[in-house]
Amino acid sequence: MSASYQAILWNRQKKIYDTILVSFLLLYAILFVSVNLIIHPEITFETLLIRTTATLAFLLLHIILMIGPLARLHPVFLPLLYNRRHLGVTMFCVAAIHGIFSIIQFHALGNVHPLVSLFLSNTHYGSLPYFPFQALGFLALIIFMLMAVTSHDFWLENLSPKVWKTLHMGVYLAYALVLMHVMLGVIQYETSPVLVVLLGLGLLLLLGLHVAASRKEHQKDQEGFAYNPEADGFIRVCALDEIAENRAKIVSLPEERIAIFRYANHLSAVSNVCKHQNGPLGEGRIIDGCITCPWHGYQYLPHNGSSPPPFKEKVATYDVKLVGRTVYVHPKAYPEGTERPPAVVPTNTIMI
Amino acid sequence: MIKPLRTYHFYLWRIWVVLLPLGFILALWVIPRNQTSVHPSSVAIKGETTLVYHAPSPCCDFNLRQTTGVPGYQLELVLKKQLKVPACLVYLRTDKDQLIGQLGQVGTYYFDLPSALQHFDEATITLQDPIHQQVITTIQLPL
Amino acid sequence: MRKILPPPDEFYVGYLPEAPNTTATFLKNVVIGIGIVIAILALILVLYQKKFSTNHFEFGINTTVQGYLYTDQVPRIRVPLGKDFHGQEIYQTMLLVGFGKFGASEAIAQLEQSTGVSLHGRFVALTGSLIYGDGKALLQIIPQDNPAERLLAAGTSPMGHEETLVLQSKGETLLPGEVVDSKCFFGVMKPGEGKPHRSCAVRCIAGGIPPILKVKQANNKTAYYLILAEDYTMVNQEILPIVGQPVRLKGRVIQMEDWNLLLVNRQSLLSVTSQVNEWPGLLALDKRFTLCQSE
Repeated sequence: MSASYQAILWNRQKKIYDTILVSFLLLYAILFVSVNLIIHPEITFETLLIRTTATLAFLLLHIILMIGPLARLHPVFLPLLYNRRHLGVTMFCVAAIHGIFSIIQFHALGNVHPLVSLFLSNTHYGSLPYFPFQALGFLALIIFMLMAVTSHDFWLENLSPKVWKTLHMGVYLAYALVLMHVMLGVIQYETSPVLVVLLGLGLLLLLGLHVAASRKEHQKDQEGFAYNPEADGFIRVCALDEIAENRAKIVSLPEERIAIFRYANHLSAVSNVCKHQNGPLGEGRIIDGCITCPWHGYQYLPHNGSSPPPFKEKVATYDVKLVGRTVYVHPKAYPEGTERPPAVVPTNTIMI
Repeated sequence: MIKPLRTYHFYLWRIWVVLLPLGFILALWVIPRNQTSVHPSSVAIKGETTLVYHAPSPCCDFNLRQTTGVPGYQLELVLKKQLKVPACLVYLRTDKDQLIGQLGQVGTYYFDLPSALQHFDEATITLQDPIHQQVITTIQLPL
Repeated sequence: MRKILPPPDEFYVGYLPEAPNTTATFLKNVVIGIGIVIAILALILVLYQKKFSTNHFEFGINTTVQGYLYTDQVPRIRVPLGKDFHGQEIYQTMLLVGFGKFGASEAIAQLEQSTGVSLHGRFVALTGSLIYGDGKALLQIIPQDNPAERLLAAGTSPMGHEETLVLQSKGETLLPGEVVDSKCFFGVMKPGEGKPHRSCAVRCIAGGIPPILKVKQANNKTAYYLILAEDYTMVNQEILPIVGQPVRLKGRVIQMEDWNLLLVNRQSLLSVTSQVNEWPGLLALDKRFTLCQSE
């Protein structure tokens, strides 16, 4: 969290993350280049650079695309999500080296502009086998570029989290473009089935994880919490004992999810959607009296949904009440940052 | 994530789970295959010969042959791998250097050797790159 | 999965200095696993690549060769290498190409302008970078490397080119193969063929670099045919739509010293390549899709 924008707010975990990332990049590049030079001494510098960056960027893209669903399937993977943007920007830089150098190699020093050549050297756009695969890679690179340049919180704030997230979901289209870029390009030239098997395994892994994660979330939305409003508009949520101390119960309403937190003998309800990247606040904890988002640690005071000063993020709040040992919430959202009195948990209520 | 994006996620991956494997399989299925010419490159076989001497080297095999009933020798040169030179000449050295031919692509080459060769006990075959003035390989032939 | 993963009790906050113990231990193992996978993948991807050709481009190295320069048909220099013991001159014909993705015509025109003479059939000393492989050679020439006095220093033409050029007809044939640009294929790029290189080959051939039909033969050897029209003129523009893909080309094969020419009918080639750009013909999912040049 920051009250003003800085290029990168470094902390120990980010440094560890980036150190591991750079180590992996070096490990891959050194191995790929050195073994190539030993086994294929005839390889040219240009081909070595193009292939090292191509394979590395595609490998990083697989890792990036695995982190999201893994984190949704189990919170232990959340630390991988924390600094995923650095991974994404790094992947773009590697892919950009591949793309720019390929354009120079295959299209520069000719009788037309390299970018014209990129799209018009091969004009078989209606043919699957002869399709101009380089155009697919270029379009994917444009998507990665848009994502990389808007990756900073400045753009997240200015574009709004919804627009920003939607834009960044373009990565799924980019993955499809890159997959076909490879399948209709180098796979037509290479003869080893091992490369096809690896690509296929990567595809199956990503499909499996994303389908499993999206189905899990979709089921939660479809469960349609027993939405039977009482006469006063409140709906029954759960028994008090179902909410652990400093944690929340998430209520899936047709419009959006609400997180009802139990803390210090109080119950407060806020929107489940973090203002930063729309992380699920209800999967977070109360730390130092603040609701803490599991994705990037953004914090909100539970009784008014506002970030503690000097931070300015605010989420909607809801009325919550406790009748006996049953928790109720009113689905009407108050404007973001509106203070609502928490429901008081009687001190003789023992948490089980 | 907000609900519209979760829904978008859900349906997008429902579509991707069909489209991406379909694209993957189609892309494999339509790979154009290069055909092979049924006509092998012709090799000049020069009469009935017997192998007199065989000398292998990393780039080529040297086979000294004698044509049945005819005096003189024939050199069969099997170029096993591409030579990394712009041009390659084959020289025979006895008391002097004589150019006997040129090598190009991988394949088998036959060279008639000068008839005067029968007067010598030993000869040397040298492959040379005339552009860079470099010897590629040399082999001794006992006669 | 639940047995492998730690219980979801711990809570990770990125800006706190320490990650919770169980989470940290689990992630250390994940990171080690990713490292091992990355290393294995790097090795597999290297080991299972297709082998690279031994064709070679002497980038940045200039070599001077002396020979007869031909500016008709395909620009080339015919380099006499010596006389064999029968007294016959042995030649190596090197195709000439320009800098980048251009043929040699422009460079030769500039050389003719600087020398003030026609260079066709003239014995010259030409300086450039050699490109060679599988018994074939090319020379990349740049006008700046060939000042007039040095170019003509080799002397006047000792023989007329008409006397030295031997063309031998080898009949009409239908050849399956791939149209590649000679410059990239013979050493400038690796690979200089196939789908990954297709756009580059199109750009090179469009720029005047001689197109070659590369024919893989049954005995695992490769034959190369310089593609020209029946009137010995270049068909570079007409052939562009079928570059870098499996094709069958019908034509008359002529042996010109150490090169084979494939003379194709320009009109037939045009009719075939124009069909390629029509949508119905392009929606061909059939992997046996080939292009036959009809009579």
